[in-house]
Amino acid sequence: MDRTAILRLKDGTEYTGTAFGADSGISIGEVVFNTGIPGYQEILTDPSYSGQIVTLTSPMIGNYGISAEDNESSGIKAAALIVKKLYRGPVMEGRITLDEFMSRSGITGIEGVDTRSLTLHLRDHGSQNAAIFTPDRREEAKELLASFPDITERALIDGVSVKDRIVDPDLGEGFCKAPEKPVKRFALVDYGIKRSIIECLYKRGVSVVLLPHDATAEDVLAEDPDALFLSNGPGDPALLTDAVEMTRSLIGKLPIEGICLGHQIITIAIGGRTEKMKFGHHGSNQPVRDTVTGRTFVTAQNHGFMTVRSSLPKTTSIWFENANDQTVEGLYDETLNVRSVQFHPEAAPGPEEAEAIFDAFLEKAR
Amino acid sequence: MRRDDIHHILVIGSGPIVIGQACEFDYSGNQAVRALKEEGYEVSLINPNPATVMTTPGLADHIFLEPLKKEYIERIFDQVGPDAILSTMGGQTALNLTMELQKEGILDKYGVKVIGASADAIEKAEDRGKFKDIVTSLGYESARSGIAHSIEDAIAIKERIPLPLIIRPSFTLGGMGGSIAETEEDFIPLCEHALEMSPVHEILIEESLIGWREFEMEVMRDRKDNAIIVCSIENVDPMGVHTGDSITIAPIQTLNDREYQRMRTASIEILRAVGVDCGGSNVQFALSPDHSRMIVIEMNPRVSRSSALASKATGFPIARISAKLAVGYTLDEVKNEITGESVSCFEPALDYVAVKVPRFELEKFPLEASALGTQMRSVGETLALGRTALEAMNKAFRSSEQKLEGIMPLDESKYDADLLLRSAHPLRYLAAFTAIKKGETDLEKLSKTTGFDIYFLQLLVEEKEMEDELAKGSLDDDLYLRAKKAGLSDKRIEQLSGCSRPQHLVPARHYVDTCAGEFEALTPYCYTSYGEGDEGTGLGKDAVIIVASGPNRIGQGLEFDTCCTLSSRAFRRLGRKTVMINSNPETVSTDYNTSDRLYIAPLTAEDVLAIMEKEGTKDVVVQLGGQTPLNMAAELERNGAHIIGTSLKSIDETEDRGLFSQVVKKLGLRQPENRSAASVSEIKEKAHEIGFPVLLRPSFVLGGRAMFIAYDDDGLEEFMKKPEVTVSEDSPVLVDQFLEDAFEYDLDAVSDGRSVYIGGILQHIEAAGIHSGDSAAVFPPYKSKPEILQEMREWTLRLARHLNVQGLMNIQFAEKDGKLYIIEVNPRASRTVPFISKSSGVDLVDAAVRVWQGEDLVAQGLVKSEGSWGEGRCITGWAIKEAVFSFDRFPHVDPALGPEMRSTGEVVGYGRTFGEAYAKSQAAAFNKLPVSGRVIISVNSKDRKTIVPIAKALEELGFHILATKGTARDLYSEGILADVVLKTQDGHPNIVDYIRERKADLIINTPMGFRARQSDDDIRTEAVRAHIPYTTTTSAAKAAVEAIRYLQENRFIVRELPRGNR
Repeated sequence: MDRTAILRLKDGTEYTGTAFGADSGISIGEVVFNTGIPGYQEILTDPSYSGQIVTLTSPMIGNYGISAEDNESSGIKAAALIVKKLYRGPVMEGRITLDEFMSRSGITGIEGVDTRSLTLHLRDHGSQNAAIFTPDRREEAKELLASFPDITERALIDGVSVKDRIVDPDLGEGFCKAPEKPVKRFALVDYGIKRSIIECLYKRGVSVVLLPHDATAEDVLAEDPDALFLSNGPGDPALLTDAVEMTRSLIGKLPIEGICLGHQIITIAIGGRTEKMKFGHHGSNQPVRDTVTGRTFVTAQNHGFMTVRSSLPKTTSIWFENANDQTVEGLYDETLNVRSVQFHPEAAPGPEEAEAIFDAFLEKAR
Repeated sequence: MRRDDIHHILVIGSGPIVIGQACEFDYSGNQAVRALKEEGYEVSLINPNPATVMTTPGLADHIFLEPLKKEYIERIFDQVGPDAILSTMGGQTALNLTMELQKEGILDKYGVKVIGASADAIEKAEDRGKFKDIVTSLGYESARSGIAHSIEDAIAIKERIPLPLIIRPSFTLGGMGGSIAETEEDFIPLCEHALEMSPVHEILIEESLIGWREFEMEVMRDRKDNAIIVCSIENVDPMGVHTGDSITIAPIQTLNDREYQRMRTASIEILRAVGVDCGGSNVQFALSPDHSRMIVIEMNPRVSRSSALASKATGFPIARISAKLAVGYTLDEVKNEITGESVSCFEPALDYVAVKVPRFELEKFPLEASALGTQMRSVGETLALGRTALEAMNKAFRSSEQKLEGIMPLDESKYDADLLLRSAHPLRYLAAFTAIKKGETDLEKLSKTTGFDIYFLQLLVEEKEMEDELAKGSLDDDLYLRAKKAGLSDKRIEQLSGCSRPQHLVPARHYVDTCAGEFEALTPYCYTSYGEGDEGTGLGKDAVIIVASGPNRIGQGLEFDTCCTLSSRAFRRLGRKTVMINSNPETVSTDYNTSDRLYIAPLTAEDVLAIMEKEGTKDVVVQLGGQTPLNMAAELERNGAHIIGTSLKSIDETEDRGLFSQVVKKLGLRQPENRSAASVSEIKEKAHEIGFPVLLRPSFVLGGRAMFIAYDDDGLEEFMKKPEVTVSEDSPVLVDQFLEDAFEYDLDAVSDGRSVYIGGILQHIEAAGIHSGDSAAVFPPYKSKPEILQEMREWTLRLARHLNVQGLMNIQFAEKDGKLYIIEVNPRASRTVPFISKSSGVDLVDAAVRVWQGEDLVAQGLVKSEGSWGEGRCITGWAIKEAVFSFDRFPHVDPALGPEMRSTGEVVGYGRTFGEAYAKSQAAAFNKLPVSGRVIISVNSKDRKTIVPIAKALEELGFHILATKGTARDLYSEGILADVVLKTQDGHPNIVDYIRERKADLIINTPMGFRARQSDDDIRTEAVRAHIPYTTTTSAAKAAVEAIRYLQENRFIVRELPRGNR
């Protein structure tokens, strides 16, 4: 069966390839590139990629199949996948192929795309909306692309957050269970959390109350937690005025901590500002300097927005900064009792060495 | 921060090229020296290998081409006073030497600090017991094993762990002496051998992980505990094949993130525990086929072959950054030169696949069906980059220059594919392809048989599908493009489809940028791929393309890479832009800052032409990379290339025997009688015409392969029986007069077509009949009549002018009975160019480049007047080049030397006296010349007179002399009393018995003529195995005597390489 497919960027640039996974008509979203090498399963299932089409710069994808233990959420959250070369051979017993996983999840992929040229294009012209479609639907796709909202205008967290409060959620196969005798209890607001973040807390004896994204300050306080923890998630933090307001109102009342989108919400809540990056940081090799110890970690990152350094209050310190472009990768403010990191200490996928940050989170909790 | 407590650093090189330690250490040492100079340190360098780039004058402040022995290093400490020693750039040799200096208190005595890796870290990483303890304490698993210092220990271990068992000696390079014991009978002899190989008489016996998956991590760590993985490498071949002999691929292909991160974390924790805190290391892992057990195999606390590969696979300069870390910097302080934007404390992201294929010399060193093992056997390697694994794999096989147009099925009339499937053999992957091509579809079964992960077998399935499609015979544009994307050459596509290419496709240029496109690359390191977006623009018509020499092999290695590198520098000095093309990742020429642009590409005409088109230039240099570029020159020229230097017509005149004979005749020169025979009977006829002995060889062979000296009709038959020999109209056999007992010479020169500059004339020490690359050679000639040398110069000038040589040429001469013969002319750089350049102080490559740029030899000041010759002189007094062999790797191969080259490397000995130079050349080659003991003398009747003063001298030097009957009698009549020792055919104990029992310390045995050839060969073979110095000429014996005299003085003179005139 001919599955010729087209990837078209909003600026009109087109790439031709072959579709795989599900046939889902037109897939649309903001196209971003991730430079990590292994880890396609974690990336696809990371809710932060909600609304985005992921290009993997690593050219050989699907090599080791999909295992039951490596899902970062209930299933694929990315809007579509772009790869250079899809592995179509047999995989290890107990695993399924990436193609099958995509089909089952109703998500389309496109292979055979010149991902390097696409990446250089995105680097030079910035991330933008794109669509994947079959040649017969070109006109329809063009129209859709023209009117499709920008990532800064899309409400994405509603689709990835829990609807109701859950205590100590079961993370499923491959992850550890909630601690039987918890040492701490965190209120964790879910903007699209990765299971590995919860696991990192469980491993440290933290019991987690997962709250929906629209939880109010009262909802949080009602849990009497040792800390408020804001999760990662998709989209533009500037749209999340309610979340920012809730966070601001709890400053001084609870230790507040966060990762990625959570870090950006904290940035705004303490009076800072975020802005959209040209093409963001998405990968497993970003060097991050701990300004306190001077040590540099290699970290996993996935963000298209960042904290504007100059916008931060005087009392706020830079905890981590990117060793390549000096962007803010973490902040703390002892007067406000907040701390957060832009990168992903839970890794998955990516280097594990920043996991010790969770110890700092615990230490600063009540 | 830069360390200010040290000021002067001694870098230890790795010495001669041997299997397991090749030009990757020239690459790393070269980067290190440059990095240290950049930081303002005074740098000294010791490396007796004259072929290296690192020993080129002007790079380090003080260059010592002296033996890598503690006595010489101590003299360097004394003479130039370094206060630090960098131990991690010269392979296992440098590490061992550093340990020795440390243990003997020499470092302390001179207040020299070890930088790079501390002696403590080296000890922890190299001592297998200590290393295992570290692995266990970190919660990781090692192979079950035991350490033995005796056979009793070994047997006790065997009781605990079942066979098969791996046996490895401690502290040897490249796993030398390692083996696999499959049966009870094998076990004890293998342990005995390994114990003997280990300098500390220690072996590791461990559980066999044969068939497991093998992975490597290239890690760097600094003193602030910043640590990164530069590159992950997966071995396509399973455990049981030395990683140096494996096909490898980067990055790791078959691990998911969880598995990958586990290995990554383990690697960093191991470096931390071992204490590597300012440099790079390599950690190796084995994974059971079901991924349930991960075992840490070993680590190397230094730069290695793998780190050179990792540097070229990622663009991350490990050696350079290691050197910076060694002097105090941290990873976050060192800029990533490739991007210019990012820091070095990140992990390279690859958006391509890198495949390494090893290069073997199966003809010179035949392998049994399952010969690969824990000991490395390949002589070189080649790297290919592709956007997909299949593309890279096909390109890598093409690059290996083993007559493979990519992945191809085996010729089953030659190979037993089924047997090879089950064997640790270099051709196993192709055997798997053969099986798939023949219809095998059960990949799981095939994976179990071969040990290849299904992923790698799936690549072969894809290749088969592509080939099947091509075989249908209708080649349209789309199929052609897909075939090109799969890495197939035009030639292969044509072979498979029977069609010529339907369109002309120009490949895209891609940059190796270390960051998968995230930042713009500033450093132009490129590869090509088809059907993709192009990056950057060509350098234009002023650029010159230098075709390098590809994977190392016997007869074509480091020397040529040095010529290519030096030429690139020379062109750039003169303001021209250079484009280097090479496929050998071990080299300096593939360093990203050697040329204005670098392509990792197969060295074929198709690829070079594509790059020519991409860069928009036609100028191509084919003179410097050995035979590889020369072989494609005609095809390049036919397709529009402008070959720089000597014309193809002239090259043809030197390579075509018929044409060359005409040239010789016309110019009034002399060459040995030569004929060509197209049938067996004709060979006989021609041999008798010329008269025995004759030198026989099939036409179209390289490096003297399958050459043979026949002394009579029986010899002719023996030659015809060789499997590689065929004779027909199309491939005639060449029959030449063999000049027995002649003196041989090598002459390297540069010409501008009118005048000639002779860099130097080298005289060989060994008897004629031994390949020039295998013979020790002396600059200047040590025993020649002036009129013979004069004749050589005149002939050289005549040839250069007649052939209109533009650039380098090499001539081999022989002299017999006062008559000069010309053996061959090579209108290209030779192996001896770097040696002659250093020893004469005139860089011949630079001179050649200037000629190409229009500056003639008179203008260069090398020749006084047009139409004459100039000549270099040895600026070090004497310079003696000695060949170095790797026979230890092939215990079943006869180490006898002959017209076929077998040495893997070379060293030099410099000295004011001949004795000093010769002694150093031997010491540097790890030949142990004795200072006392027994010498056995057995010479032919011609040499009976010349041997007398030599024997007398040896007696005076305190040696006990033994001689065979005839020799003893003659010596007695001259007043020298020698004990008689039996010849091999005369009973026992004979010469060979003495050698086996190590009852001889020096052997002088000149050839007794063909009747005694067998016994001469036996003596030589045993001497090589027993590491007892052995000479075949009285000149070599005399050299040994002078060297012994120097050694007895115990002076260990070290001399800085003079800078020379230019």
